[in-house]
Amino acid sequence: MPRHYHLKARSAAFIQLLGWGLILSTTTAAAPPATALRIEQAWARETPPGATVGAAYLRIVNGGAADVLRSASTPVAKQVELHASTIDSGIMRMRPLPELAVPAHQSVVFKPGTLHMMLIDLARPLKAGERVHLTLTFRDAGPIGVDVPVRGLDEGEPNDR
Amino acid sequence: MTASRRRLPERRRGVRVLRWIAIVALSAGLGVVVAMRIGSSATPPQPAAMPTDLFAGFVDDLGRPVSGRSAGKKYRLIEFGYTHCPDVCPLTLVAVRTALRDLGPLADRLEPVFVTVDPERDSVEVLHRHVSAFDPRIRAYRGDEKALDRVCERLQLRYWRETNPPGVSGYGISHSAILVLLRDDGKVSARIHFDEDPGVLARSIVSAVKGAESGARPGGDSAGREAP
Repeated sequence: MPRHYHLKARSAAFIQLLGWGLILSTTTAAAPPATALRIEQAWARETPPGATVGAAYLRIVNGGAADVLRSASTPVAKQVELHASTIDSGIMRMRPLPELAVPAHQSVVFKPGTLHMMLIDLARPLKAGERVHLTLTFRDAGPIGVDVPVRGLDEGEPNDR
Repeated sequence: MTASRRRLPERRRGVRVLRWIAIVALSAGLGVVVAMRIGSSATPPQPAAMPTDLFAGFVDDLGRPVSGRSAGKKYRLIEFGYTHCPDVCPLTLVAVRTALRDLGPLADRLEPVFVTVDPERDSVEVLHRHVSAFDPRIRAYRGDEKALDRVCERLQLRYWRETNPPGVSGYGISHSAILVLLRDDGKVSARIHFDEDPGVLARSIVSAVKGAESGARPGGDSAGREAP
């Protein structure tokens, strides 16, 4: 009897969690229109089998006041870092950025060879055709979620850029 | 008359002395130049003279020791990179993959090589899975620091480990993003500059290989004009 009761309590807790999850996801889904920030043309590159890192790219369109991108996270990687790649006299250098300014009424573009979100310690390789969720957290706008399609090696950047 | 006769030999003597001084000075100068030439040609290593040991100490992604020559291939395309690089390195490999496809039958003459600058994290197995995902014709080489330093010196490439600020996991490695088209005799056929657009980079690779094949660029050192 106590075991049965315990099970019931656990499933009740699970249902409650699900409920909270639903409420949370609807609130995050409803959040974007409230801010002047828009995330567009997000994509991630397919990763080779066994890869532990990946990269995601996107465009942050700011229709309002200046904001700051503080961090990013995804369920498929332990950590997401903002990185800037630069090519200087033939040398590729990569430096992590603690945060990134999003000036008022401007766009910030993450694209190959320049700015990218580095996904560190991938739980599994990213496969072409799937979608991964990415949450960007801004100083003022707070968290904004975006679904990121994974593109094949041959596909490259979306053409509508 | 007698006075002028006496003066003439004196003048001649003076001219002779000047001539001797000039000869001695010239030959001394020549000697210095020759000595300097000999000295300078003896110091730098000659890549063309000893192509076989350029990749001594390296193993490929199948665990085979890399000899100085690629079996049956006329060219090697050398790319520095590492598998923990999420952006520029995969982009370059995508370009190499596209170039192999666009080269058609000419691709049989080319062996693209991903030389890891991170032997610590890139094991032979990791490298094999990594490059094979882009194209099974792409090889990877792994060597220790000493072996890498030799390649850097001969091919004028660079790499170094970055010290990341606290709170940042792992480490990044800065490295040359230039691709080197290497002939089987150890001579550099072309140096191809990186481009953020893999399509542009692929075209640079194709034109470098075609140029080398047609002999249009013997020993030329730049194929990519699109460098940033």
